[in-house]
Amino acid sequence: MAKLVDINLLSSSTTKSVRYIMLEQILRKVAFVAVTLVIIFGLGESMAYLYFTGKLQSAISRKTELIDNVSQSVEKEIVYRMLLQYLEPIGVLTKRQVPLDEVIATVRQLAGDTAIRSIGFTADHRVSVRFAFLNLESGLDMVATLVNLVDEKVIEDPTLGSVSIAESEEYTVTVSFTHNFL
Amino acid sequence: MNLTRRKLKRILRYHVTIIVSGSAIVSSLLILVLVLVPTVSKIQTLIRENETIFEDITLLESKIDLLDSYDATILANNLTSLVDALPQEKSLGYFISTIGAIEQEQIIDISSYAFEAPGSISTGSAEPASKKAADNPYESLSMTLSAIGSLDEIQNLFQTVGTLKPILSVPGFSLSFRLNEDGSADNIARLSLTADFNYRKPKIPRPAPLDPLPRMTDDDSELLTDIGDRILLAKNERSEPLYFQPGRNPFSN
Repeated sequence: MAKLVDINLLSSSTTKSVRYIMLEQILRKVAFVAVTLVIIFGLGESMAYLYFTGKLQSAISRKTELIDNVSQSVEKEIVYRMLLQYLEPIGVLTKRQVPLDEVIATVRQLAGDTAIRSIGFTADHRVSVRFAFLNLESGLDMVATLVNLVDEKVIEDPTLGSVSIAESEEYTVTVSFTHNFL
Repeated sequence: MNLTRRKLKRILRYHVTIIVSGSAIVSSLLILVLVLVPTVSKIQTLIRENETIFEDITLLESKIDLLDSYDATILANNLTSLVDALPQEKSLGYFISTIGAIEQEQIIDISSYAFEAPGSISTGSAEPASKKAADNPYESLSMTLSAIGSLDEIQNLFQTVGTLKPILSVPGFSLSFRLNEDGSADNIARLSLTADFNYRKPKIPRPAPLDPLPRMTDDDSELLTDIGDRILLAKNERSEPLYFQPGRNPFSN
């Protein structure tokens, strides 16, 4: 079928084989597609390049304008940053600062009728109080208040020292507890 | 010679389609490889640059919005208030004036007080920059204080200390009631306490326009209000300005 016609280049009549003609057609189509694609792609690319270049230019000018604005308020920014810089340690300090008047109030509440002889407070929020009382009932009231304060979670981990009797026939007892601060 | 030319013409005429199509395909490929592909990477670079600049623009806009939402005078007043609460330097004068003011206000009768290793009287400029100081958010100057007063006065003192500028930390105290001759307790107690005066050498920020600016949280605003409400008993004399003014040339009049 694939009849090849003798191609005599030197003769006046030139004939082409069917395969050759098919090859020509295929190449022509491929070439057309390739050129068309290159044109379309090239045009699209050029437009995209121009678009993004323009966008970049306007973005750069906007950025420059904004940088100028920020530079104008640099003093305000320094003050603001210093504020933030101070807020951190001040926050730490105020959290560590415990209301010591609450310690006195708690001790007074605990004392009731009994007299306070001394109060000690340490950095771990441990309070030790020496109470003096003339009758045991006052002492028992104090213990009841102590239990209430533990229940209310105002204080925790209480310890009660041994009761001693002084020459003046008053009882003294040392109570220790950890004070909670809300 | 003439024959060769004729031959060549015939060959060209015979293969013209293939030659033209082939040339078009090769040219297209060359244009694709040499022109279009590099342009694609250029466009990608442009897109990335655009994205970066838009991120910068967003950052700058939010920074401007944030700064515009604060009044410069209020910010400066707030900073002054914070520096009164936590001085910039170990200002013995300020600390002593505060103790003096506590006594003058008749909050309690102070018997004595002493600073532990006060070092240089004046300022942070005389202090060595130690690693410890750099790590700690603040430094402290300890003081021991003895006072005499009733339990009410002592309670009042503690209440006042909690609302004062500068912020005073009292890590511990002890009080004992005086005994009368008959052995009974007096109403007057002797108070002995240790207190820390705190200070902080600030780092003056040198912000670049593109440095992000963190927002103040609600806790920060509450803290600012709390510090603003605190009582300033003595004036905090500063040896240095609160912050430098970048626009001002110190050598010009």
